[in-house]
Amino acid sequence: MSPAARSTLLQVRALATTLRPPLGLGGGAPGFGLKDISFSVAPGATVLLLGQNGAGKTTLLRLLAGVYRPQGGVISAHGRVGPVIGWTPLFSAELTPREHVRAYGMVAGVALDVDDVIHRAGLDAVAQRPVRLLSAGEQARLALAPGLAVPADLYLLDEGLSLCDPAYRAAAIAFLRRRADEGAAVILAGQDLLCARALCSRGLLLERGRLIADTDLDTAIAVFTAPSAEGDPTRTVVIESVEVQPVIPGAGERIDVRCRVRTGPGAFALLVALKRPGGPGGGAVLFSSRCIFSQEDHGDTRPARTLEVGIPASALPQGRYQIAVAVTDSRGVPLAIREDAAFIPEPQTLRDGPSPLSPLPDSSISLSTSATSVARSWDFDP
Amino acid sequence: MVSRVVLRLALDERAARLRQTLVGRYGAVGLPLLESGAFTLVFTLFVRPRVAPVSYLLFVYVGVLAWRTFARGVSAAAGSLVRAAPVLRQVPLRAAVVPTSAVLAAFLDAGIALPLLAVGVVALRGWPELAALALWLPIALALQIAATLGLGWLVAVGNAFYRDVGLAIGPLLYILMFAAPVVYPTSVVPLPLRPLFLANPMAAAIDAYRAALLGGVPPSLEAVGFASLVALVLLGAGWAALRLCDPRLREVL
Repeated sequence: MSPAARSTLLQVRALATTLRPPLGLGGGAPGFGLKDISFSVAPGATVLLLGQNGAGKTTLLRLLAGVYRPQGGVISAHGRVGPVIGWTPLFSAELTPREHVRAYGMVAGVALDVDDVIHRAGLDAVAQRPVRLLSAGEQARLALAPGLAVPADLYLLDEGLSLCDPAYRAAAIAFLRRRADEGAAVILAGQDLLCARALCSRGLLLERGRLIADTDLDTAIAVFTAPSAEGDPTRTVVIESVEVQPVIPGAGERIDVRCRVRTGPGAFALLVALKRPGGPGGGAVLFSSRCIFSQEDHGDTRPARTLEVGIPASALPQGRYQIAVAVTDSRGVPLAIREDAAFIPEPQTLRDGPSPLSPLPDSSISLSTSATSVARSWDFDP
Repeated sequence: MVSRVVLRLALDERAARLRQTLVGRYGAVGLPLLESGAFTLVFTLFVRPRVAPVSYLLFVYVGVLAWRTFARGVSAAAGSLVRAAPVLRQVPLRAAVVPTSAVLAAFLDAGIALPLLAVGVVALRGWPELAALALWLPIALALQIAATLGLGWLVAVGNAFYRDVGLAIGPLLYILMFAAPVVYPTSVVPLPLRPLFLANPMAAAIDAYRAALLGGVPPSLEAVGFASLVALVLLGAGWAALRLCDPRLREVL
């Protein structure tokens, strides 16, 4: 495996796709689509893919699994992808669990130990019974067990865990955590926050086919569960780009962060923070700034606007820093978060010549600031 | 590896279909026999065909068995992608594997009826000529496999996008059966209609089966050539449709 592959298991850049009904069907209704999805997953990452029903979680998982082909953007996955996207068994309900596991191994191209998989799924007692006679929970375990038994570097799971009984769920989570410790990554889609808190440390929040936040789990859950009026257009906020000037800041020089933001009508705050990347519990905010802005109602269109915020970055010690940007509503509820990585070069490098402020390798990006600490550190009073 | 997946899915498809049935796999023997018996009764009573030198029942049984295998394979392939939606939307399995396994399952079903056919041929007509068997049986099988796979792949893709295809294919295949020499010999087809008749590769295949097993009049070289061409076009079109539509069809399953 190359060094790049070691640092990133999955790289998604500007992913876009639209699912449309066949020609002549669907009455010309616009198809459902994903737009401008970019993120990366490092070895050991445990990621929750969160979003309302129909936000595009399963579609994204299918794209990552190679089942759908994207119409735009790039997906590069290193290593084997293990998709467990459905929560019902894949083959005929007339077959037995043993036959299901055998068939799954065949289509996945892996020789599975059928007895072992059946035993781990706790299905020994019903192994010879047609699947249609199994309970919903047993069927969910049968859907998950063969997928988890296939050795993979990136596991893609969709909802199924929440249908299983607590004992199996705990065992599956323990297995996935162990695999993550060994360097595999897990992307769990769904709204089961209990499972998510037990397994994941990072959250990707999808809304209407767009990725609106890529942050730590607590912040993602806070944004997802924040009270909002259904259909409120201000809920869809996208931070389209973040530019940092100058790319090589001198001592005491102000850092200007220019953000291109697309919102619906209403009053918002743009928060920009300079953070130190860190492990769990790290990521302390060193400097922060904010600007209040409002957007007029433009009907169905949501024009983009560019906002500039300055950070007084005086006396910064050498090292690595992150620029975090968030847009909140007037109550301080985060609507979109973007954590772009930044690198401040050492003083010698500054003297020697240009070394652009470049993204950190994905594996070193810390996404650990919780929603509470963001609000406190940024001293934002709604 | 792909062939093992096709075989596994075909065996599982048969196992699932035959579970909770009374006669199970022997339905594949009984139903063509019943159908042949019905045709024999009706045609010998009312039409009085002159099919020599074998009995009309054996003549029809060969045709019915070949046509039922073809029709069963095509109609099973038609619905196969939709039935396999759960696996196709989770695993990046080649879509072509699914209708191919459905066609293979239909051929495995026909294999159950072969012992009865062999006994019938030997009992009513005697041992078939080895030269005719060696020449015409491979030709008949090749034509039938190519036609079934080609049309099966095409209708599988068609049904994935438009479910009308799956609804229409059963009645259409039944009508088409009367455009093939299943219940009558090719010789009764008027000469001006013969080229159109032979555009159906199953027509040449059924004639070739009868030439191999019953010593019937073999299809002409022109008929075999024309049927081969049509079968190859079907095969190519079906394969191309699957290859071109594979990523897209998973989105509409």
